[in-house]
Parts: sequence; structure tokens; C-alpha cells
Amino acid sequence: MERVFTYQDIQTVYVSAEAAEDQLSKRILGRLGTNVQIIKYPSSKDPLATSAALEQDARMAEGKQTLLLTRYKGNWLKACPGTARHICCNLYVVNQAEGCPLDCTYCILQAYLRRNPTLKIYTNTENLMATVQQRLEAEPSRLFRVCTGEMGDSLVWDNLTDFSLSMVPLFARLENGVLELKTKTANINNLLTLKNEHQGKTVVSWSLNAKSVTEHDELGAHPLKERLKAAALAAEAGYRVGFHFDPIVHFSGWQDEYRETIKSIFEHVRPSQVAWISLSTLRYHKDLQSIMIARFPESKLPYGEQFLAKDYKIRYLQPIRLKMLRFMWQELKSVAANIPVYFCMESPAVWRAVSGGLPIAGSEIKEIYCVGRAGLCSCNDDLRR
Amino acid sequence: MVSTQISDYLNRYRADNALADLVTKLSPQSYPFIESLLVELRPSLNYLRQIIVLLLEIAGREGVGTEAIVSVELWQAILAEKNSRKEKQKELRQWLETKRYPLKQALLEELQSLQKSLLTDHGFSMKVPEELEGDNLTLSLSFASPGELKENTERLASLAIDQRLKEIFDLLLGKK
Ligand code: SF4
Repeated sequence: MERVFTYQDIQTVYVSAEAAEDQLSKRILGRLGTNVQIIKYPSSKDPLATSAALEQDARMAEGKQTLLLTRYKGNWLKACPGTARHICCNLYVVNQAEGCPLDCTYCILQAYLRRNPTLKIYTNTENLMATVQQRLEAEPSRLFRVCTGEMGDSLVWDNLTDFSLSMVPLFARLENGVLELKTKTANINNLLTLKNEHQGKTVVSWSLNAKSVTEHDELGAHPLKERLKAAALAAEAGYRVGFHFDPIVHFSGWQDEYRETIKSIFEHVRPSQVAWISLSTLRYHKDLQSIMIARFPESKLPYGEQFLAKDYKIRYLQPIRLKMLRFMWQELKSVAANIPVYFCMESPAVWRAVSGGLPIAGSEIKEIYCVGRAGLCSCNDDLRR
Repeated sequence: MVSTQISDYLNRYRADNALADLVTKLSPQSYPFIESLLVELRPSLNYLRQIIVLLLEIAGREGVGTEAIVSVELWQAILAEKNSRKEKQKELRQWLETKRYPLKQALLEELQSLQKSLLTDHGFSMKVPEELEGDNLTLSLSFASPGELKENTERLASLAIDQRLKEIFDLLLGKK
């Protein structure tokens, strides 16, 4: 089994001139200690940026050990882009970091960031917090479900940055916001200290999988057991917890392994402590396939019974996809019929075929699909973007 | 180093870099099979690319070298058949596709047999969605008179309640 990522794996830190005096930069450098090479860097551009295709795999590996501290100048709060003709779950994303030191074979960031592979942490977080606060306060009747795990793992840097120590109390104060921290780690020490402050406005969620997938295809992540133990501790501290089965992988014996993972969830948390569970089967952009094969020749993920769909994504054939989603749905619902389960980016046809209706039909998942605050929403919102 | 025979072939037909690159991913022990394929079946570059991709993907799936996929016996058997070159090409590709996508091939076979028996019994030819994606079946019917249309309507009604039609939907929707 691969070992878990630690901050000692970071070899080099570039500190851009504009971030040098930021408090967060100083905190990160102080916590990284002396074993890391620190380079003062005049620019905020990716130091490993390359357009040469041949170098990209090697740079990607180097990028996983290299960190750039810089400031972010774009729009902090963005609506998740979703997928055309698929039902969208109304998520907003905030990225305090870009890139991930964990190394999942199926990670889309490998394709997305292949020309800019250095890990980045943005140090102007006061600006991030102010932007989020202003935006949410400007639209008080809208419910914002905000996730920080789009461009990396939400908690992987938390013991360096203490980002959660600011974000969780912020969302506790904002009436129309729910924060989701999505992770494959067990880094919840900071969260546990906020036990009396989170006000139930932060959902801590774990990406889970069949045990063999976590062992072979989620390099650097915490083992399944440790993720679930962390979930139990978070739930005990009063947080609602979420779980994402993403990606569900088809392999010989998949039913037994996924059933086992589902069983383990409820050995650690009670159904009433679960905010939501999402399901999505393995799919990836065509460009990712060759990267996966080159970087992870042992992985079986690129060789499933998949096809290239019109949107240039590789997916399992529909009968296989539906069989897997139905199995997961039924297993989860057999534990607790009201548990909020949803499909991430699936078509209305898939919803109908597996759940027997569209998401709005299940009142237990209104929080995910409803864009209005409780009591202010007529629930007639168009679910399709 | 790719064998001279293979690189000559790639040069002669001006193969692009992507195909040349794919060839280098085959194990050298599979070169005799590829050389024999070039001589016996004189494939187009496109066909060659399809075969190499299938070999590489089956090897990745099964965790074996590309040389272990097509046995000498199988290859000799394909070559010994009294088929045309094109038919032999088709047979090889189908064999590899079945190995690469066993579930898909089994599904397609089951669907085809259901479609065929419905055609025999009801006279309608039905198409399943492309790549089995979606839940819409298509059938076309033509008629030369109102009377023929009426007759079709009656046959359609009996098709609609045929258990085999339900089985087709069950297969497409992953219920079987
Ligand atoms: S944890 Fe998420 S972001 Fe990080 S490598 Fe895995 S899939 Fe990518």
C-alpha cells in the first residue's frame, strides 16, 4: 500500500514577492521547517510551467513536491460549471489552493493543470473571506452551498494554513451559506477545536471508494478506515458529514467491496448525522486517458468497459453505469430510506431509471437542489442548466 | 528498436507520430505477429492503429505483455480460413474487441438475438441506441395503404406487450 502524503514530501517552496509579507506565507514557512528549500520568486507565474508535452509527466511529478505561495487575483466565488443536459446540484466553489499533493490516478487536475503543475496556496485569504461574505450578504434569499475542494483537497493543507479556522466561523455567521469541506485525508484537528462554533453550517465530507480502489488508485490519501474514523470524530463534534462515492469503479467483485464500504460508513456514523451522499461512476476527459496510462501503468481504471461519449468524456456503457448506480442507491436506501442520496452530473433519464423520479421529488435532498433558503423557496426552480 | 519490417511499413505509408509512438509501446516479442499481420492482411494504417490500441488495452486490462494476447494457434487458424483478406481483418478485430469489451459484446449479442426474434415474430426491425446510450428504441414501418397501416397497428400492439421487448429495455437500463 502506498504511504500517506506528509508535508515533508514538499521539497521546494517558491515565495512570490507579493506574498512574501503575508501572514499566511510566514505561518506556512514556519510550519514546514528547515528541511525545505525556499526560493524567493519575483513573479507569480508557475515556476514549472511548460508547454512541451514530453516534459509534462516529469514536471507533474516534480510539481507534486513543489509549492508556490502567491496571491489570487481572480473571482474567488464561482458557480460549479456543471455539465450540459445534466442535472446540476447548485454548488459554488472557492479555491484557496490550486493543485493537490495527493495523487489519484483518475484526478482530472492532471490534465487540467498539466502545463502549470506546481502546487499553489493563495495567501490573500482575508480578501477571499471578504468576497464570500459580501456575495452571500448581497443575496440573502439565496442559499449558497460552497465547497472548497474543486481544485484540490479541502483539508490537505489545513494543518499548514489553518484555513478552516477562519472559514468555519465565517459560515457559522452567514445565514444563507453552507460550507462543504471535501477531503480524502483525516486532517480534522482544527475542525475539532471549532466544535462549539460551527453552528451546523459546515459539512465535512469524505470521498470514499471500494477498498481496493483507495489502495491502488488514491496515492497519498488516508486509508479508508482512517477517513471513516475522522468522519466519526467530526460527527461526534456535531458536524454533519457527507460522503462522495466518486468515482465508482467497475471491476470484478465491485459489489462486495462497495457493500463493505457502505456498511463501514454506518458503523462509524448514524444516518441522521449524514448531510448527503453523492454517487458518480468513473468518467474522465479523453485527454486524461493517455496521462493516466503514462503516469500509472499499473492502474486498471483506463481499461474498463467504457466508450467515448459525444462530450469527449470516457464513461462506462449505460447498462453498466445504471447497474452500479442502482446497486449503490439500493444499498444506501436499505440502511436508511430517507438518507439524502444524489447523483453528481447525471441526466434526468438516469435519475428516472434509478430513483424513479427527478431529485426535487425527494424532499430529503432539497438542500442540495433547492437554490432558495428554507421557507423562502417555492421549489419550482429549473433544475437543468 | 522497432523491427525494420515494421518501420519500413510505417515509413512507406507515412504513418503519423502518434502511430509510430504506439508501436513502440508493444513488447518486442509481439513484433513477429505484427510483421505477419502486415504481410498477410496488408492493413491500412487506420486498421493497424485499431489493432495496436486493442492489444495495448487488453494487455493493460489483463496485466500481461502484448505478445501474450494473440496466440500463434489463433493467428494460424484465422489465416487458414478460406476468407477474404478483409474478412480475416474483421475476424481478428472482432476477436480482440470481445476480449477488450467482454460485457459489451455479451450485451450486444443478447440484444441482437432479441431484436432478431422480434423481427421474425412481429415483422418489425428495431434499432437500439448508439453505444447503448439512452432509452429510446427506433423502429420504422412503411405501408402502401390504410389497410396495411391498420395491420401494422395490430402487429405493433402485440409487439408492445411482448416480454422480449421489456427484456431489451431491462438490458439497456442495467436491470439484468
Ligand atoms: S484528492 Fe482530489 S484533487 Fe487530490 S489528487 Fe485526488 S482527486 Fe485529485
